[in-house]
Amino acid sequence: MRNFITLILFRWKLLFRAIFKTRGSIKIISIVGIIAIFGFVFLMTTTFTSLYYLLNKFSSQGAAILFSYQALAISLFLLIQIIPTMTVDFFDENSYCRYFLLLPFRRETLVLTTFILSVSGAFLPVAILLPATIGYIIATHNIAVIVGIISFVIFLFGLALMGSVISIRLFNTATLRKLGKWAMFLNLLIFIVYWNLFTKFNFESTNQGSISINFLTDKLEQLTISFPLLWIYFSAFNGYLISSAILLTFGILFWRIGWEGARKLSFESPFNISRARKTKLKIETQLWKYPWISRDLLLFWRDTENFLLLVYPLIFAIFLGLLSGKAFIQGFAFAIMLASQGLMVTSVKLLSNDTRNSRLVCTLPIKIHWTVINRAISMTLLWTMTVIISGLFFLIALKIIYPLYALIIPIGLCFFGNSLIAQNIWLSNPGDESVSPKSVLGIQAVGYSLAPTLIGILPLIIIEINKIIQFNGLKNILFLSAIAIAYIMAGIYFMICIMVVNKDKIRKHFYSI
Amino acid sequence: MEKIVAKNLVKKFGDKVAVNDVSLTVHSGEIFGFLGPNGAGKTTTIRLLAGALDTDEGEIYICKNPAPESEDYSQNTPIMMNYENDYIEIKSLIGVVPEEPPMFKSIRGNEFIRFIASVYNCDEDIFQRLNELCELLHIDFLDEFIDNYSHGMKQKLMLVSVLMRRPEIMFLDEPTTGLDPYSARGLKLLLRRMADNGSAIFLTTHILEIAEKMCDRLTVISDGSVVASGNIEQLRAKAGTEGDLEQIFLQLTGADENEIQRLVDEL
Repeated sequence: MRNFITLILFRWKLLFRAIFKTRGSIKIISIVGIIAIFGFVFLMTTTFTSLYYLLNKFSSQGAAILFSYQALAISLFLLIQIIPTMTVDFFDENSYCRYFLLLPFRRETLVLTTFILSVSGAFLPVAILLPATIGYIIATHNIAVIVGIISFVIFLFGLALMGSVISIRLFNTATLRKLGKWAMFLNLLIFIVYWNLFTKFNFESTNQGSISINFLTDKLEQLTISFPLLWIYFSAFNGYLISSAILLTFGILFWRIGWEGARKLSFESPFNISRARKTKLKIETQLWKYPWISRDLLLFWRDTENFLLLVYPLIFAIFLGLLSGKAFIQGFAFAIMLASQGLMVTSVKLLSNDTRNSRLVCTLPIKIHWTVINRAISMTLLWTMTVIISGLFFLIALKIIYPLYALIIPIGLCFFGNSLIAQNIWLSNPGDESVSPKSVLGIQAVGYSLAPTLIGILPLIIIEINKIIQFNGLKNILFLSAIAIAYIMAGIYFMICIMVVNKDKIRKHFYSI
Repeated sequence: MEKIVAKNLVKKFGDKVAVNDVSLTVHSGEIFGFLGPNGAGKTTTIRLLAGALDTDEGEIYICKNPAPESEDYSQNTPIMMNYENDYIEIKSLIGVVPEEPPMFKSIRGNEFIRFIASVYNCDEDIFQRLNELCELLHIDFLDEFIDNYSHGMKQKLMLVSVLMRRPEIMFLDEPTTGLDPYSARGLKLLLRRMADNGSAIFLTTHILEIAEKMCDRLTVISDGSVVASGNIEQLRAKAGTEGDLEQIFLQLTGADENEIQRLVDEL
């Protein structure tokens, strides 16, 4: 037990050293972030509690019905996220698992600490599960329900542990990375469906509340008919002690299987085992025309998080623009803003590959500032493409005639500038590779993202103003002027970025790493 | 013919002088050994010579053979280049294997090779040479992600990415670290062959047997300064000992063998 506590505290310290070992402003932002998380959990708890109280007024099963849906969504969410994350973490060099194995720690202690760290990393599902569960317990204040909830938590985490141990035995990190990419995408879809489903229901009046509850009850019944085992899951939340006992039994069994499996883990990625059979050497003999851009794009696609960042602007564009009241300006502004933030984060993540390997990069026949410029070019092209595609949704679905494509150049110029700025921020903070690009950029990324956002939606704002104040005859002139202003502003912004990030500064930063 | 010329190199990190007034010359066809205790300044010197670090003082010249039709060619005079004016040309000419093989994550071995070959704009027949090198160094893992490689596998990948280009000048920082005896043997023979064919090889190692057997000339550095330079006989004379390179090294770097023995006995 002492070993377990020592190990978990040490690994936590390793994980969060980025927060506690960085300089003033970043540290403050991080601490504010932690306070915000606690605030968020508190706020969510009060929201869920009042919602469950309200639902119980409409129907005695109201809270239980809604919580069943939430528990199911969160369970899926958690399992999909934790299992690949834990397996990748387990074999990751930075987790030091192989080193810890050399010290007097039991294997199952190592597996359990990795599992706990992965759970603590799955912020979103835990941040919803925790308040939802507390709120449900407060609203129902029934001992049998509490027993059901405890059984559910033991079952869920037991299943996650068992799943993780099995995946560690079955998959190698390369496969897990691919699976992780799809898992993230699946999680995003679950989140959107979940969110979209619950924002459609109105619980404000008794009549509408009852209709909503009846609808949800019918759907839940259909679900349990299709998947009868889910009945045990749902009935445990309702205080059926037999269901709770079954859930608890299976939960304990899963923990036991996970625990036993952990004791026999080889701590070697299955790749090393499969290497025993000699693979035929396959080498792609065609050279890249633009090697730096090709390499950056390759590394970009290999990172699961980048894939998610790329999808976010599209999802938000669809979500806000098409589903939530056809809010075109907000949707498009969000898409540009998210794309710009994604561009800054991914530019820095790719740059960190070079700074981590600066001893190699400095020996290659390229002037260092060109590696930064190449990256800015590739990221600008990629993220501008995302904005174009998100704009296409509006053009096709809403048939909005908007000269989006006239604004691609100024948006692209701002993106290029932002990529340079982001890389410059990273290079100005050399040294600690454990600090994540996101925490280095912090809130600055939001600030810089305002430039392309404002430039991108400037003509749109003119259209909206024109709807309120009719500028008869002046509409086209105003509109064209807005586009011209967008070009001028983007040009000025681009020049400022170029001036801030000059080649000598890049070289100096790079060589000092 | 000279290939690497360094004059009075100085490099400081804050108050610490990592390299202090180091001068050396490496010739074509020569394996040049650079020895010293940990923290003596070997890696810093390699980084300076390879243009991966700026010098505070001193000059570095990397030399190339003159074109056959030029006047320099008839006089057998090398063309001296420096990083300030000929950065890209020098980088294209040299090959560097750092001590800790730095590798990009989430990339396969063959993709890394492809990237390096593209960066240097190599001919496509390089892949034939690559296959031969893979056979020599027992490499059968290029299809796999570098993240899964052991230290030795990364070292082999780094070595083939340099050796496949047959650079005229090579800087190898502890090249045999992590290599199995077969691969190490293959590498040593290959380096000798490349030197005999005219390459200049600048090599650091802590394995003094390798240095003794492979290197034509040696320089010993301690606390950033050169303490001795020459072939093994010249070093022996300078150290005033008839022993092997280990004894010469200990003598030159000021280590007291009796003191080492006393500390061992106390343990």
